[in-house]
Amino acid sequence: MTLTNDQPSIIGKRVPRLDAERFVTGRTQYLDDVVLAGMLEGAVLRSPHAHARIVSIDTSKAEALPGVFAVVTGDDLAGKVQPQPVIWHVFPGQRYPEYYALANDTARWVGQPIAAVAARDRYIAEDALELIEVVYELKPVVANLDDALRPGGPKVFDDWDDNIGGVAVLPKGDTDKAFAEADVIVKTSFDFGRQMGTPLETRGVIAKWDPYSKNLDLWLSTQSPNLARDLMGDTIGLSGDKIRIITPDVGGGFGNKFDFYVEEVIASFLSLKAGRPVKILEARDESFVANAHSRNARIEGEMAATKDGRITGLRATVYGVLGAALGTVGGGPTWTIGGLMSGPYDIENCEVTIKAVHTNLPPYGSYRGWGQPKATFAHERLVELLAKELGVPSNVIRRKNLIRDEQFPYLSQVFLYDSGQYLACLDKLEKSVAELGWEEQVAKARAEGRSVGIGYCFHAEISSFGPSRMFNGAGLTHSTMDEEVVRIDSSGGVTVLTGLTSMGQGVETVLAQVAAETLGVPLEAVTVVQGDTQACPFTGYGTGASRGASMGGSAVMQAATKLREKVSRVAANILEASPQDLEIRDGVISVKGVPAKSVTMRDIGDAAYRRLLGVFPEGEEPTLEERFVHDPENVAFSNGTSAAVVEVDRITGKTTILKWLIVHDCGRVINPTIVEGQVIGGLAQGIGGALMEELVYDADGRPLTHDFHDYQMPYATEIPEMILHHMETPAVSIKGGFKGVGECGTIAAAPTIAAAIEAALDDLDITIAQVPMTPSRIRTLITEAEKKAAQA
Amino acid sequence: MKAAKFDYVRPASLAEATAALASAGIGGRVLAGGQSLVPQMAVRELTPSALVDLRRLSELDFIELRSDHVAIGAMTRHRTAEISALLAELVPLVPLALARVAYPTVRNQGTSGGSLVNADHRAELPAVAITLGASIVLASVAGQRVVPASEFFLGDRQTTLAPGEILTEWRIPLEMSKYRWAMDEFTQRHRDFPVTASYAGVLLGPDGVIKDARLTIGATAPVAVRVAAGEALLVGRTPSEELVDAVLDILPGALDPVSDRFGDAEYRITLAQKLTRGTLRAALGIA
Amino acid sequence: MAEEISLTLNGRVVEGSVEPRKTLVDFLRHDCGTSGVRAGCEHGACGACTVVVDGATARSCLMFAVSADGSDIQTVESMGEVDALHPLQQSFIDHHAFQCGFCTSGMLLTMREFLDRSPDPDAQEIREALAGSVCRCTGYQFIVDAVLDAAGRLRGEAPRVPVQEH
Repeated sequence: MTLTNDQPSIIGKRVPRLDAERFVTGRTQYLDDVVLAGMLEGAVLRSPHAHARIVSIDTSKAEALPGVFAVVTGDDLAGKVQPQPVIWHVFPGQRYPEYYALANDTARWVGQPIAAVAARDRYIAEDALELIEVVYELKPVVANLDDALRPGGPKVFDDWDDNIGGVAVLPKGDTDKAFAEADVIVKTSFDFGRQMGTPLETRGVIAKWDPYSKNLDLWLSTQSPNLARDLMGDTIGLSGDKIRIITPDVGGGFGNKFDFYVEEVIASFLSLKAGRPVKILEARDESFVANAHSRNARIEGEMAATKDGRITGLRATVYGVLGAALGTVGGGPTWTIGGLMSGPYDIENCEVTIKAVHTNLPPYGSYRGWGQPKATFAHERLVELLAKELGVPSNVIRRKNLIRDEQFPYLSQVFLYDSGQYLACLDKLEKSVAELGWEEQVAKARAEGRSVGIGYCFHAEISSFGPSRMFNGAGLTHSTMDEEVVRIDSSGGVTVLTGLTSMGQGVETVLAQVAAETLGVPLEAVTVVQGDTQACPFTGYGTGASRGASMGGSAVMQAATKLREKVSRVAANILEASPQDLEIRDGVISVKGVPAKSVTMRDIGDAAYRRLLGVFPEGEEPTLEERFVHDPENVAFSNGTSAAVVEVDRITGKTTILKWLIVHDCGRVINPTIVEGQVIGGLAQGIGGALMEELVYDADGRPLTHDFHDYQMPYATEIPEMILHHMETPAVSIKGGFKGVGECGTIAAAPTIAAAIEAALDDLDITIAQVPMTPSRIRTLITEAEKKAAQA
Repeated sequence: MKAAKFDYVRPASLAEATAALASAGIGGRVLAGGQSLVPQMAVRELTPSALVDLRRLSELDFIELRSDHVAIGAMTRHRTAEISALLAELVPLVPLALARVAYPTVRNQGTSGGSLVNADHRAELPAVAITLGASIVLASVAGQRVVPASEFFLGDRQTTLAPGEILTEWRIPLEMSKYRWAMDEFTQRHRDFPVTASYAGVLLGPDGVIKDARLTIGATAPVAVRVAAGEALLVGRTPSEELVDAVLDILPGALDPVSDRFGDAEYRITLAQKLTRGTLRAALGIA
Repeated sequence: MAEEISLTLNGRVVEGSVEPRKTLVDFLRHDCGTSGVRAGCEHGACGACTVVVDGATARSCLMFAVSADGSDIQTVESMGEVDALHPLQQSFIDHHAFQCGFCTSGMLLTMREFLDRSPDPDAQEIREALAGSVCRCTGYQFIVDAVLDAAGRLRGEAPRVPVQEH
């Protein structure tokens, strides 16, 4: 028996972010705000060629430049480092092209690090880069997917017979039969462009490798400190206990700061060589070739259905356009395109073939959504095509095929979907659209000659990336569990220690809410400590994959529950009452019905840490701290459905988003405002990716994207006001019922927009086949369709 | 993204500035508002050996009505010109176009002289100067020369500015005040660089007949293009939709647009026609 | 060759010795300790480094520190008092108008100038005034809400704090 928690609910409340004042007064401290005594600044020399043999490197002039303390090349690292690590191994028999932090004999993409300098400041470091002389011998370039697949075409690796690193097939049921017996088959083929998360704070690292103690301290703008520590140890052959990762405030991550990058290794060796701390802060211009790229894929898919719209089969080939090396997550995001392609639908027969294709482009890595933006684009495109083919609204198809409530848990090709109310979610959206009068407004606008249309999308989002053994079994060489520690100190204050990173999403606030409510203390009593692998508990994987709030929140809840038990025993001892006769509210524990007979959390803390005699229970272990490791049996699937009204200018091809509505279900909501921030922020990112953002390359593999005028992320003017409705279907395997929310927006945006554009132009035979859907591309589609219509 | 080293001079007068620039030699360059120069230096596309900083040179910060022209000093901030009552009255094309230049914070610092000398093919002010038949005044220790805008711009970020010369002001003929002006541009993202821009001005006689016309397409070629054939077609006629159509028909033959990630030549011609339909109708008063 | 400069920063005179090539953002962050100024793109397209120079906003990545000699400069650090945040700052907190916070300083100073010039804007005008400032986290909606609310507060109206209930 335990005390009654009488704390007014904080979970589910719109509380402001913890320590919000420091954000609006310029007092947050990002990596570049960290200053260490004697710190040098590094800069990296990058290959200007997409594929070239390195004939020679002469660093003598750079070494002689006053203010330069160390120069390193691939030779300096040879024998001392392992190839850059890969943690996802999902393609049977996959070939692993080895690459090192600094190139040895061959550069395989523009931007690949060749050498690096540490100098008194970044200005001198960049001066020194200009003095390094490299002789290259150019080799044939695989600049894009078509180059890579062309028989007899150029090759990324001389000793491979083609450019395909691995093939995986994910089957379910009898797909061939389904297609043979189908009433209707629709097909789609599309290319998704190369994009990246582009946090406003670029990536950065400070390495302090003490030559005497051999301890390596790394200040790292990272989403995954524990992973970074272990991978760093593996890569440089240093025992993990010698490595400490300190994470300052992180200025956005979006998956880009999940991965483990070469600069971490380079900065460490510069530090070792110079005997001083070295900072490498990625400059914006180099970020376009140094940051992990994502999204780039071609998907050829087809869907089989009965004539009344029941989907009987899904078949697709995915070409993941990887770079010339495997990033930390290898082919993981590409594989996920296939693994989640059935999305929210009950499809009996699926078969997706995924090909990991290499090119002379930068490594492919994590970006918010992973494979899901493309997987969702594929199934929603096919649903739209099927609806057109059958002459029914696409939501008729959706309604007929969404996984029904009673089918949960539902087994897809790969995953067990835990819970959801998909049909109710779609109903809620359609009801809301009707209440808002969108159909009427669109009809009126069209009557005025405007090209306006509504698009819909239903998505599922894998979240709560937590079951370690399950993911180990799937090919992940790292864990995914989450450990949280909750402590009450001698003054009664509550501390949550977490291995999760706050990169803006507000996970610290969410964890504090869960701890406060569970313990029965006010929110202000809770402090969240994070950002130091030597002080904080272990979180597997990292803060990504929509796992922080659900995994961490659940673990905090369970640790805090244990701690509350202990508190109740201490309080019972002091108050000479039975625990079940006690209640707690705002940190005050009192005997039920006798409010005067009470102790405060401060009294409890004092009794546990300082003046134990006579108050702390005999036989009880002093101090107040509990931990919980959350390693659930399954993930949790969030879901959502979107509707958007867009207007297309038929001449310019420009799409303007007029309205956006999303109904979202991420299980039990801890903080609706934070959830809304995640969903709306994610949608804005997804809209950028849908309409504008692309890392464009020329035929020689040279980047044409150097700045924010080339890589145009949306401003406020490109983003509409959004309406969001919450639903809460509790997670099954995550105690507390929390599901994740981080990636929903980036998943939902592009399919919704594609459908809306086609609806706005429904008098023309237009099929979106390329993302981003830039104005000139839409204009081209319109021109071609008009020509076709004129001929017909 | 850190600039290479350079020497720095901050002259107290134009005379000092030209002298400083002269002694700086071929690598010398003027720093005005810095909004285009500094980022190019940050990626070391430009590595001047010396910068002559005109930021405090208030003698070049003016907007003046003179006998036959309006003069805008090189160090006039875009913001100043954008809200200038004098320009709004006499040459509204200037404030119209300036309102489209980047963002308010950039316009607070960016200058006329800087924009004209930078001569980005997408930028608004060079196209405006060409459209208005402006003159550009260049000073050096050797004296002063006045160059028509039509001759000043040679290509994308290329002008006739010689080493040692400072752009001190640009002059807009006062007769431009009698025209009705319009401009419009297409950007992928709000207020980013235009993919295509159109500038139009029409001088109507009291009889309603077009006495003169200006039509310029920007951002499609290394230098903004005056569409002479279109202008010629307009003169002597009265405004009509058919006339607008006729001018739009001329555009494909008059333009040889660049192709890039934002669109190919055909797309830019389409944009130019769409934009020009709007600007021309507004300038003709048939909007 | 280093140049000696002297400027007023948040009301106090600061003197320094700078290489002419050092940008104002680097000087403010690394030499003056006003690290609330951020370097987001170093080419004037994101707004994170926005400061106020002689009464007008400027992108401090597009100015060399030496050019700011003699100027009056304000950064986000001087925007409010410890016990009295600027209404924009308070409204940003109340509306969850930041996530990672990297863009926030620039957003605040840009919006303060905007509200000085346009005290009673609508949401669309705010969105247009925000153009040029990148926020990669929020999707801007709560920033727009916060600026609308702050505009009201600056006009003497009561705060429009969002509903605290789910």
